[in-house]
Amino acid sequence: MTDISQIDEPKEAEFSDYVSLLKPRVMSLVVFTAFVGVVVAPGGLAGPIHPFIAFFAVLCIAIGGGASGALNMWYDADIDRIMKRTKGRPIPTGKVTAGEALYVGLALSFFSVMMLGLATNWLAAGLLAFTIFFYAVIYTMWLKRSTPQNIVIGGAAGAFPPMIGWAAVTGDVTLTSTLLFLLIFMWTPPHFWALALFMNSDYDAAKVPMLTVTHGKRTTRVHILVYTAVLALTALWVAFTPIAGWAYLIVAVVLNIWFMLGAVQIIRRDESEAEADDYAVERRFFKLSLLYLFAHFLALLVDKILIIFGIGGPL
Amino acid sequence: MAITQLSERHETRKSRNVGLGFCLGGFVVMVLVLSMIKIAVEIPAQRAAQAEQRALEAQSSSGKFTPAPRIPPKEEVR
Repeated sequence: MTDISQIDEPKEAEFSDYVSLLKPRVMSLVVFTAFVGVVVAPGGLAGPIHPFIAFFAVLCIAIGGGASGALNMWYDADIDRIMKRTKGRPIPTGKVTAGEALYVGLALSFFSVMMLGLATNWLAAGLLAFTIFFYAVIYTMWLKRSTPQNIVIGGAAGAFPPMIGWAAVTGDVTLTSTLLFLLIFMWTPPHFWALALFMNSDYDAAKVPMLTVTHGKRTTRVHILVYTAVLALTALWVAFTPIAGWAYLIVAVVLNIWFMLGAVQIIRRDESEAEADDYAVERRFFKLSLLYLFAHFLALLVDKILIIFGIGGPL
Repeated sequence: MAITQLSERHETRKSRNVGLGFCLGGFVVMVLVLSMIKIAVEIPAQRAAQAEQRALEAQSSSGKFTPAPRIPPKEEVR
């Protein structure tokens, strides 16, 4: 006979479980890059929009990013259960049902887009709506399970926030805001492929066709180097736009040399070497990639502050 | 019956209720502040711009002043 005391009680979700549906760590990147987009846009700090509206715009972009995270968790609940990295998420642990995640995602998507449109302009709102659609439908439902180029194309979703922030202030999409988009777009593949190198078994088990699974780790190492080189060119191009100054140039030169050296180290290793030290170099490169993006956007912020105080200026 | 009496549900869902309460309260405050800013700053600015436009049109129609053609904004990337 079944012992009733052994049957698990349905787990009651805490508020924090709903917050983790929104992928707070990804959201922090969205918030920071969108904030920089708002601040560096022409007149961003003392210009066409009130500071509170600028703050509200960043909040809407963050909520929109979180909503797409919830939709991703709803759709990917089956593979999240298999992967070590994701099995602690609220749906695989049974704290939140997939249906709840879907409703949270849809409600927050609608809310964030409408509020951004009403508070700023409909170009920014349209870009946010497209970002959510791109991440939830194009990346999650289509590309992620069908092509090793999943994170290359899907990376566009994570690259939109600074462009949306810029559009919220200016009502416009320009070459400079497109370059900010490109900076994150080109950064995404080396960042995720470094992760895939040391988490390959996870993707393999879940049958996600990451480049490491479909073409092997050697090809992935080559791809990391190629994308890092293109990323370096993009990062340096940003240095010669009106939003960047000496702080950005110094950060870009130092970090891109550092990042390239990391990518060269990665390509020079073979699998036996990597397994011997538990992918120490790849893990370091992954952590460096986080610093890389943060430092580039921080440098743009510093340059903007220097311009305000009349110290710096475009190169 | 005391109004403060709590059921078991209140206890198990305390975190959700408080969190949702803060979110909705924050939303109301934000919309209120946003509305006040729109009324106090943006709408007067729009009215001033419209008045200026009307004044320019009136001047141009009376033949005293011909407004210069609009110069497109400078390309912000060199």
